[in-house]
Order: sequence, then structure tokens, then C-alpha cells
Amino acid sequence: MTQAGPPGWRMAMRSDVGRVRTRNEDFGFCDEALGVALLADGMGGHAGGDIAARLAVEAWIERIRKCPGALIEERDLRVAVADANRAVFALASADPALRRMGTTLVGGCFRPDGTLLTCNVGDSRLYRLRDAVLSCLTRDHSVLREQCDAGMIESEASGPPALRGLLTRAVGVAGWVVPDLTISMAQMGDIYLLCSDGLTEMLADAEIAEILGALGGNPPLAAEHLVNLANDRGGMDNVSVIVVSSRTPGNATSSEVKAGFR
Amino acid sequence: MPRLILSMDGLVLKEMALEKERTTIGRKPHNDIQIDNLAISGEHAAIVTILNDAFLEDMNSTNGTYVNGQPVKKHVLQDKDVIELGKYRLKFLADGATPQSEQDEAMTFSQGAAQAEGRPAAPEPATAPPSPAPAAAIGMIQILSGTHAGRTLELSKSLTTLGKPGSQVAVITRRPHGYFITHVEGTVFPVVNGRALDAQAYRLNDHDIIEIAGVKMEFFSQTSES
Repeated sequence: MTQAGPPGWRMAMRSDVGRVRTRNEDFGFCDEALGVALLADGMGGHAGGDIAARLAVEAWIERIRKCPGALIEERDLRVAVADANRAVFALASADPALRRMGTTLVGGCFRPDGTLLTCNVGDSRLYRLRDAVLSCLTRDHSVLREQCDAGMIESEASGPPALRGLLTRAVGVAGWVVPDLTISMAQMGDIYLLCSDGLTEMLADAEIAEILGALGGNPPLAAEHLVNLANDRGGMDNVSVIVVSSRTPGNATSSEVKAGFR
Repeated sequence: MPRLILSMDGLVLKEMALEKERTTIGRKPHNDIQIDNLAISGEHAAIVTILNDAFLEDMNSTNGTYVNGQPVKKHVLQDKDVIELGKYRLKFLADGATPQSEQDEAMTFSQGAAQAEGRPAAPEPATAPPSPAPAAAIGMIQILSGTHAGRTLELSKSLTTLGKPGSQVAVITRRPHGYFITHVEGTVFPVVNGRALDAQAYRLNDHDIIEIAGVKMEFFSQTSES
């Protein structure tokens, strides 16, 4: 276990092709020292989804690394997403074989002042588990989510199946894209999860909460178990997760592991 | 808690727990489970759930309700029944059926006390894979030493944590091909049959003796005992 100074986020990433797809079009990055985690899900059905995901992540990281003193501002995130968009769109425009490729992008910056800055385009998500309550800090840019918000359908699952997975925003499909940004206070004991829809399509939120609660003190194990369970359920899509934990190993003080032998 | 898995053409659309006493299914938006398809009546069917028993009733729908291929008006749902409404299928999964008293004891081992989005801390639905896997034997743990000696715990969930938070925690995960124990937290690793594990998951065999946080326990599959 790495011994990072406080707040000391420990991160672990797992990415798997799943049981059905032949190519992994997800791409992720995390760096404990930088306090940054980023995940991209290249667009399925389009050529070069894996290329789009990797290009977007690399361009985003390159911009973030240039931030003076690693102090990442909201403006930096917007610029980093714009850089990612430009990198993907430029190649998609130049190479006919890669036309219309695109990717989702979800990122979290755990800043030294204890705040968490997130950016999001598409339907990859960032969740927070705090006091055994799982909340999704990002909002999907998907047709079903927007129909649901507009009151056209009762829930995303009740919408026409043909619209599933259809995005309303993606990185690299147009000359510009606007990311959603959020800012929140991170607390000791919080566990964060970045994931592609390959996870959330296979597991219910309650199950994700349970796994993060039980295994959050050990991010590599939590990440591995999430991916395994998604695959055990059928692994219909690529599944990628990054687990970020503030818990120190051997100190599982949060309530979900309150029991044990007395 | 019993669960339903909604699918169409083999594609799983939604999974939900039967949390309410009465769950309605239909095309209109006020239904608990809305299926927005013209083959589905406005109020198509309802499921009344009492503890682990569930009763399906067709609400005089136009196109009917089928269970395992047979048209039904009223039907007592059995585990793994497939309800068909138009092109949609709802698979009914009864819970792992742990008696309530045993469930309370099981909480000492913290089988998923986490909960999502402010829901009451009801027992979580069993997380067995929804695919009709060959009815895998349920693993059990029997405590052999300490204050809980003699107690058994059914490993019906996808993961069960064991141990003492703050000093040693291990997890037993349930997968289609067996049960695996892995070290989670703490400086001391679990001991299986007298040998300390490393960081790798270890696949449990019947009658393995596990030692965690000073407590001995035995793993076995339900089919081999009881």
C-alpha cells in the first residue's frame, strides 16, 4: 500500500473487454500523486472507438499536467476537455476510416484543498459512497436520461430499448463540446467510483454500494470484484472501473463494516 | 426480497426488487413497472408480495399474461418463473430464503449493510447471477470457536465480509464457478487449513478450515450437509 500524505487518495483501475465484445474500447488513467482519475468509453458501433478513448485521455492528461503546482481549476478542466475533443475530432476528420468516432469522458480531480472537481461528457459515471449512501455525482448525456428528465418516460429502463446507449453529447464528434462540471467537498471515509456503462448496465446501484462499502478499504480488490461480477452477469459490454478510496487499510471504521466478531 | 428481471429479446432492461406489497405492471405511467409498448394494456398485471410469497394477477389485459408459456389469470409465483407480457419477459427470482431470525445473526458478519440512496435498510436482494446457471450449491460457513461457535451463515450474497474491522477483514465472494476468499484489510492474513493466504483469492473447498481474527470456521456446500 502506498503511503501518501493526507488526504492520501488510493486509486485502482480495472478494465476488461467483457464477455461479448472482441475489443476493449474503454481507456482509463489514474494517478494518486496527481489526485486525478479519468475514464473514457469509446463509442460502440463506430470505427475507432478505442482510438478515440485513448486520444481523449492522453490529450486531457497532457493539459492537466501543465497546471502550475498541480492546482487544477475549473477553467483547466474545460480547456482539457476541449483539447481532448480537438484531438479526437481532428483525427476523425482527417482519416475516413475513423470518421464519426467519439468517446465519453468522466474525470475527477481530488484537489489538495479537499474539494473534488469533476467533468463529464456522455454516459460514463462518477459515484460517491458516503455513510453507506451511493450518489451519482454526474448526469448522463443520453437520450433516455433526457427523456426521463423531461417527463416523457417514467424511468430510463422503461424507454424504447432502441434508444439505449444513444448519447446526446460525446467527445470528438463535433468541433466543440461542453462538459458538465461539478464541485463538491470530499471527506475522509468517502469512496469514489468512475465507471463505464458496462458496469452500470450489469449491476444495480445497491450492489455497487454494497461492494464499495465492503471492499472500499482495498481499492484493487473492490475494482476487481466489480469487474468480475459484471462479467459473471454476462459482461455485455467492456467494463472499466476506477475506485478511489480515502480509507486507510486496516482502518475500516465506516459503518458498513461495523459488525464483525465481538 | 423477491426480484424481477425485465428483458426483451434476451436483453436485460431492468432489475427491480419487489419492495411494495402490490406492484403494478402496465403501459400507463402510474404503474410501478411501466412498459411503454402497445401490446401491453394500461393496467396489465399486478404482483402482490407478502414476505417471500408473490402472487401474480392478470388485470383483464387485452393480450394476456403468460407464466412459463401458459396463460394465467392468477398464479403463485415460484422461483425462476418467467412471466411474459407481449414481447417482454419478467423473470421472478425468490430470495435466498434465509429465515428472518438467522438473518439477524448474519448481520454480525455484515452481509452488505450498505444501502443505496436513502432506502430503508431492508435486506438486500440476493445477488445470485440472474442467468439460469446450473443450480449451484449454496456455500455455508459454520463457526467453530468463539462466542458464535455453532452458528452457521449462508453465503447467499455475491460477497460476505468476515472479521474484525480495524484489525483484520476478509471477504468471501460468490462466483458461478465457486466461492473465493480474499484478504481485504489488516496486517494479518486469513489462514486456510493452517496456511496463511497471500494477496491472491483462494478458492474454497468443502470442509476447508478458515481462521480470521482468531475465530475458526468451516466452509461447506449446503448439498453436502443438511
